[in-house]
Amino acid sequence: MSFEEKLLIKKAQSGDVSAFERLIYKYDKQVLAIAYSYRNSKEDAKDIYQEVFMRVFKSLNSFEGKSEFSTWLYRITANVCITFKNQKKIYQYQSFDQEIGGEEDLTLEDILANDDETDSQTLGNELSKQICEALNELPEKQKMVFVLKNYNDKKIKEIAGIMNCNEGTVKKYLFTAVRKLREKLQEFSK
Amino acid sequence: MNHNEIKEKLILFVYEEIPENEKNILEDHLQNCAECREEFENLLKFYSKSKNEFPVNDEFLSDARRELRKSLYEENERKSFSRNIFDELKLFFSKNYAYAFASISFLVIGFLAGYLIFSQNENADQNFMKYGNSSKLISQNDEAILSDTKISDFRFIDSDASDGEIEFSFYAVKPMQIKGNINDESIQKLLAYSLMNQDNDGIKLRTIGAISSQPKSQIEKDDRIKDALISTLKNDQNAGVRREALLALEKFDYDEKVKDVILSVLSNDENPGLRIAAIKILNSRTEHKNNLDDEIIKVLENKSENDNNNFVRVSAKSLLEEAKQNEL
Repeated sequence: MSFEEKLLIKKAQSGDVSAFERLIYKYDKQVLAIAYSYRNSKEDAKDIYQEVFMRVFKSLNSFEGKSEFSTWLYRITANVCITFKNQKKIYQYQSFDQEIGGEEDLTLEDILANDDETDSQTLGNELSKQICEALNELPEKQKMVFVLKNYNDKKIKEIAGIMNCNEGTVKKYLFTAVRKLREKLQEFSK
Repeated sequence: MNHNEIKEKLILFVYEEIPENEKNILEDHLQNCAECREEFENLLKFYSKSKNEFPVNDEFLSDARRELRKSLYEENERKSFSRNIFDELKLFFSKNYAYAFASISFLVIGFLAGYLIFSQNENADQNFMKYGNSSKLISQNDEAILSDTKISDFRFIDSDASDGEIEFSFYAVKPMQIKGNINDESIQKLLAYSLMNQDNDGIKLRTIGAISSQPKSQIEKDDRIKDALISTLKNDQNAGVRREALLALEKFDYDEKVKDVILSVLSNDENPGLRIAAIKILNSRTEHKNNLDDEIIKVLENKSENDNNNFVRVSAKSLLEEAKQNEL
């Protein structure tokens, strides 16, 4: 963490909104990009962006600098994305600090429940829609790993930090996500 | 490595997550194994198909930032309000006041108990000011009061007039006119409130005009107006209002808060005119140009290279050069 970043965090911790804004403007575009690629909806992405940074602002005092600020921020982003329920604007808190267990933490029904809210118009062609549909059928953590890797070019090591798990688990999620997506796309093309 | 392991490694290969030594092994294997080669080609196809773009353009980002700013300032206001109350309470319960508080508590409890035991029910729980008799209402100068009072939220409690009586409630708001010194606390509170809560741009501009019109020497060191101007500068959607707020801030002492907001305007405001005004303020406020600190220099360097407006780039560059010359 740079000296400037530490200084801004300290100022922001004492309630300085200007310092907080300067601190987050280095990363907020990426947060919006993750949210957008995860939800495929600009409106949802803006809601997630808002929720992420309000959480960060409210809990900045608990940030001790044990990890990079960016890792902590993206972890909160991933958490909010995964627990985002669009219909009622409810965020169901589920922490990555809990050990990541099996792959199927959420049922297919949970995930499909949000399908009708997805802004499918954003992606122009049929293939993109199919990919989007297939993506929405993945369990949330697999989807998040795929989104971070495929659309946001995060390194596996970084994703492990964000998701608070080891690199092996990230790779496992990535392999399974790629396999399932390919199967799904083959089904579509039949 | 068996085929399954190779297939997994190929995924990492596509995502450029494979170490150099393993890359060579994989490349050798691909040359000799048709099945894995086909798998690799399919993977590349999948990668290019699935690599959709989710562009976050400036407009999208600015929209999100504007909404966030509003929430941040609201949260901060809420926080400082609860902090103030907490501080007051802490002071109140501190050792010096503890005995006084205990005595007052006993007195209050005594009065309360007496009131509950001996008083009759007088409908004390009504929130509204009650007028039992309408003729009394007219006779007590209220006619004059009502003449310029806005009535809203009119609700009937009893609209049945068969017994000759009806009952209703309403809110009565009377327009106020205040004349006073701009540095009075109550005037400052009202001006700050007007800036933060008005939707009408004309009124906001006139409020800022009133703040700017006082001589610099007479501006009190109260942060309330300054904070309201800073918040306006960051949140207002109207560039004209933001510009006036920026110019009004010039009248205040150049401290960290002012510096931060000027740098924030220079870094983030979408209006080039405001970014140029921010550079001008930096130019005039840093009396000797070698006073430019690292933070300002960093933002100026970034702007001199990356700003999409030519004049902003030139202005930033010229201020930097001036600072360098002064250093020599």
